[in-house]
Amino acid sequence: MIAESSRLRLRPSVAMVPIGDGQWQFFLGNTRRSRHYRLRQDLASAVAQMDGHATLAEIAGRTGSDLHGLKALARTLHESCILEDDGFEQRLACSPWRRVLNFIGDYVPSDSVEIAFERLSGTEVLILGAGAVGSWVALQLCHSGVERLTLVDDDTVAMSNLNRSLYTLPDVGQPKVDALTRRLRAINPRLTVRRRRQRMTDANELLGWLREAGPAAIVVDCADLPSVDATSAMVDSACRATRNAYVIAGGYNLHLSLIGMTVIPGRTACYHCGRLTLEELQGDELVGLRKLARPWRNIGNLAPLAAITASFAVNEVIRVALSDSRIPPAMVNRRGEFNFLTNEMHFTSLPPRPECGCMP
Amino acid sequence: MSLAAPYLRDGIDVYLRGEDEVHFVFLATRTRIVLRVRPYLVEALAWLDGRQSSEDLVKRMDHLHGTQAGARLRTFLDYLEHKGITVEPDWLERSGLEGQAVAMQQRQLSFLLDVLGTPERAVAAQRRIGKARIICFGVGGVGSWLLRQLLAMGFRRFVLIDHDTVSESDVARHAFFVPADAAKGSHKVVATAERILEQFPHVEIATSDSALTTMTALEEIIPRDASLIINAADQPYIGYTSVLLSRFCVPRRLPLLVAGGFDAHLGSVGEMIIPGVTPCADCYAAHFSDALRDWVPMEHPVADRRDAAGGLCSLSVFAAGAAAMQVLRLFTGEDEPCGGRGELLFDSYGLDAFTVQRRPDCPICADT
Repeated sequence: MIAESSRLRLRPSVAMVPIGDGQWQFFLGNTRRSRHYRLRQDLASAVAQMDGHATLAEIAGRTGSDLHGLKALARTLHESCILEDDGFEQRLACSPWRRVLNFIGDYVPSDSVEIAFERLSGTEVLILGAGAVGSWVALQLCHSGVERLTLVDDDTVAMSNLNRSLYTLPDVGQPKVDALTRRLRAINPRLTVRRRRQRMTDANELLGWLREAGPAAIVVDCADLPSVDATSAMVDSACRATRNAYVIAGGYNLHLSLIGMTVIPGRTACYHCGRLTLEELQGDELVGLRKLARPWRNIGNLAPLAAITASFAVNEVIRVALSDSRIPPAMVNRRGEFNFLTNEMHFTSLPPRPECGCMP
Repeated sequence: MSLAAPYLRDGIDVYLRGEDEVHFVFLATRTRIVLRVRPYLVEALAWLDGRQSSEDLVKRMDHLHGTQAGARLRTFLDYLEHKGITVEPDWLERSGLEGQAVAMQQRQLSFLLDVLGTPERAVAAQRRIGKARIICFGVGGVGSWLLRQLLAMGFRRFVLIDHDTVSESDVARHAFFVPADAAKGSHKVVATAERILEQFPHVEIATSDSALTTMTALEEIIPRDASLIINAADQPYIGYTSVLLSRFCVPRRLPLLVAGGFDAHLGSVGEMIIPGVTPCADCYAAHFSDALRDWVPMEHPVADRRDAAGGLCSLSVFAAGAAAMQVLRLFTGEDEPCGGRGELLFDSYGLDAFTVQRRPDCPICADT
């Protein structure tokens, strides 16, 4: 509630820049976003005095502004995440998640930030596969405040995993879900982890886990056995039935980090819609070609590729879990590639396909 | 035929069309070799699993399709070796790298083989990584995630410098800290080194809790055998600390990586500064002061804005990952670094990239 006694503050991460002709740019430094407003000089001076100590009435008195007009402007700028409410600074100061809350505060007005964060920390995330990408996803989610995880993996840590995952020498020989859980609990003792030391072999299994986890749970597919396509199809089948959102973590292909799709079943293109489009895009150059089978093959990869792929999956989980239209998931109806050699980001549009039958 | 037992390299996709058309697609470069060969040679591609000697393969071909086919296979195998399509299956064991390094780094060595083309170059790059001494200023959000990735990649000699102590909100985005480090108020470098040694017992780490200012005696902190300086120190401001370090590095020809991702620029792809090759930090500073000449924010009503920064761990990890790949490129020497910087835009995941040129009149690097 913004009243004349409110002591609002220009968010410390926001720069207020005159760009001529009475126009002002408010640059939100954390997220590199800008908002533009045309302001009367007295109102601009008033905003530039909002230090969290003076009330709106006091500032209006100093700048000679009309108090009603200033209140209306303050409401607008608070909604736009340019001003923050009275107690926000103190509330943040005592939270270990200060940086995450401040980040959310660039998308959600300050008086709703904690409620949004509670949605994130309370969301259950099912991570299928605790290999390189899966371990990086779990750790980054834990560092973002997520407190409920399910880890699914039947494998044990091998020496050859250490170059790209978060496992280290003392973990070798232990079940991945156990080694990872220990690491995560050391960071946040409040974390609850359900460990499933098994491989997902069909969609029904996942269906059971999802019914236990509830409709808000989010699935992240980091499993590549028997193949990413096979596990994605299982995930799609289960999530389509329960309407749980899922994120395909993608993978890596030499100098490329692949950024997978985010799917909200019934509302956005699903894995199969994406597959239909990708098959068409493959074009003539691969038509009629079959791949030579080489069961012994080991594709090279390394830590930064896994870490970057995982970082985008984590961004997407955070966006979906916040469930706020001001910070929607960014990987719906598309997938992307980040090229390290050129530092270029490339996206492929994967629209919903009516013939897929996934839309109601 | 010099290969004892030819093995089809992992980083090459092999596609077949009909009975006689073969496509070799090099994943690293996306280049493609298309051949039309006799169907029995196509059949023989599936034999190149590194378990059979070249002589046995030729004999097998003789037996199945006659001696002329055997002779043609001999020529074909030579061709595949010449093009780098086949290698020895045990090239890793022959590398001379120590057993544990091979066991841990086999997938990275496969990557290096694909990118660099020959086992010799891949092994030499890994060996340079194992010997390199990395000097890292700032072990906060981005610095720690970069260190974590460099450790996984096989770097093992570090000097860490940071004056700050661990606070509770640091734990939420740091690669090494645990809540006990914050409770004790440990120095960041001490806590980081302790945690690293728990997980990587064979690593060599020196630490310093000096602050980075014009008064800092850099020659006492930076050893003579330093291979790379990393700047992940964002206080008081990363542009300022980069200039300090760059002025030290340029006359000594030391590479300097500005690892982006400090508080207000979390998704940055920072710049590698190679004295004499790329712009130096003074060139960057001059470039941005020109570019932002007309962009002058009002004085902010909140004087102390140190705790204002917001960010996600995933953005720090992205910045660290992009920086780690730049470090790898420095040690593979595969391409000439150029000037420029990038910024991940969180809303669209677009990468806002721009190039920066050397300043011919730069007082610091013009003569290098």
